[in-house]
Amino acid sequence: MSRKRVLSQSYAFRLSEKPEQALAKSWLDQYLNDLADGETRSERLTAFVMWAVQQAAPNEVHRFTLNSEIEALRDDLRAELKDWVLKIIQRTGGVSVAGDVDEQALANGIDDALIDNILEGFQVR
Amino acid sequence: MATIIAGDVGNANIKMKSEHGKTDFPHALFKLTGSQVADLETGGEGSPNIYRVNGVLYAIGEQAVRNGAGAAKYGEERYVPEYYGVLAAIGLFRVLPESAKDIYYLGTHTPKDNVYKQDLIDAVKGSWVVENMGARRAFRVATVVTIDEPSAHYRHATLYDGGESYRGPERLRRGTCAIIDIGGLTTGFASADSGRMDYTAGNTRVRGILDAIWELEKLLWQRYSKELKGQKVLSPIRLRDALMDGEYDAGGLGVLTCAKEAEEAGNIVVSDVLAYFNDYGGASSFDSVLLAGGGGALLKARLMKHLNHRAVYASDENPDKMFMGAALGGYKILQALQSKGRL
Repeated sequence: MSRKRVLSQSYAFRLSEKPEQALAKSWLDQYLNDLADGETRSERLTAFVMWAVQQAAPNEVHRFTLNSEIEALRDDLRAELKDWVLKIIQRTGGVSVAGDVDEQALANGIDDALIDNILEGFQVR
Repeated sequence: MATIIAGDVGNANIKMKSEHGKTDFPHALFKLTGSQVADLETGGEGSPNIYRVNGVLYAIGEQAVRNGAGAAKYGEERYVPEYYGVLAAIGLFRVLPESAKDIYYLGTHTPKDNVYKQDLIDAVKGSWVVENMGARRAFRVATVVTIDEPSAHYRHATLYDGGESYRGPERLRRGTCAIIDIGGLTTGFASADSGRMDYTAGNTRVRGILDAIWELEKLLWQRYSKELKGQKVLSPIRLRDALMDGEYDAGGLGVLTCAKEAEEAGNIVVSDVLAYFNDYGGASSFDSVLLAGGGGALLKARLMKHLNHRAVYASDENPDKMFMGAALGGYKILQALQSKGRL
């Protein structure tokens, strides 16, 4: 199945619905493991990367060459995938990407400095 | 435990969020006259857009606009109980399925209205009885706090639902971030440094997305005076779409091409934002830029082109939800405080 076909048919709906889900800590693992009939893991990875790039710079997708990067991805590189996507985002600028979950921050939770700063805002006149 | 509510009574729409859901409705309020009240009382259950608040009947939204000019108040003149308070009470009715006695309300305002915080607080604090379509609910707003809208948008973009953990790109929280909140009639600017809002740096430009929409309407009437002859009004919603698409869907009259007019109208706001952003420090002063508000969604593509910054983010993954960002962020702020026992 060509990459173009993967994107235009199999994933169009799922990609459009994912931003909210993407914020869940386990979302990426679930997404990459939840393969449709006949779908390979590489195709799923490709779809994710394309989605991420589209989110990162929707106006610049046509200028972005993905082939070499996608070929470099193997299933066992999944742990590095998010960093890789973030590099794309940094390279292209662009809008927020729902998939860039900050797992460390999620694990740590909010801190007292944030609370103090919020309360300071209530007092400003 | 207090019932927490966040409300953004903006110049274009009222937005409110509770644990039960969210609501938004067009900003306009009209106190019904004696004859209108009499007509209503003989007409049965009433309309979804007619509310009785503390015994007085009001129309909201387009029904209010149809009832007379001047239905909508703008800027700080809104912060009175008979206007902001009534609209907030109606919002409470729409987001709370039952009466509530101990409401902790966070109201957002544009940065320039910091000096009117107490007026906003006084306008909404107190007891409200709201009736609509046969239902009646009583609310007691016990505590009111306020925060500027760009700060609330920033928290929406950087806090996960529940307010207990961070989300979004690290760049927004680690470096200096400029927040540009394009609302209906104003554009708010603010900045955050390493996740901390700098409340002294906020500012407001009296220029918003409605200026662009009204300008586009004027330009459409000029260009298509023959085609639109006999039409009374152009749809605000279709004008918003036209501002983005360059095509006005005139229904039975067909699609009116207006790319040039949309560009010209949008530039009224874009040029103002760019000029102020440069005065504010420009691209070299900030590690990231956060676009927020309904206007931020409509003008995102154009601003990204002209801001000359490589890390421009939208305040929500869904452009259609960006206009709700201040209410959603305000709600996350209250959730964060509640989770830490600091409410």
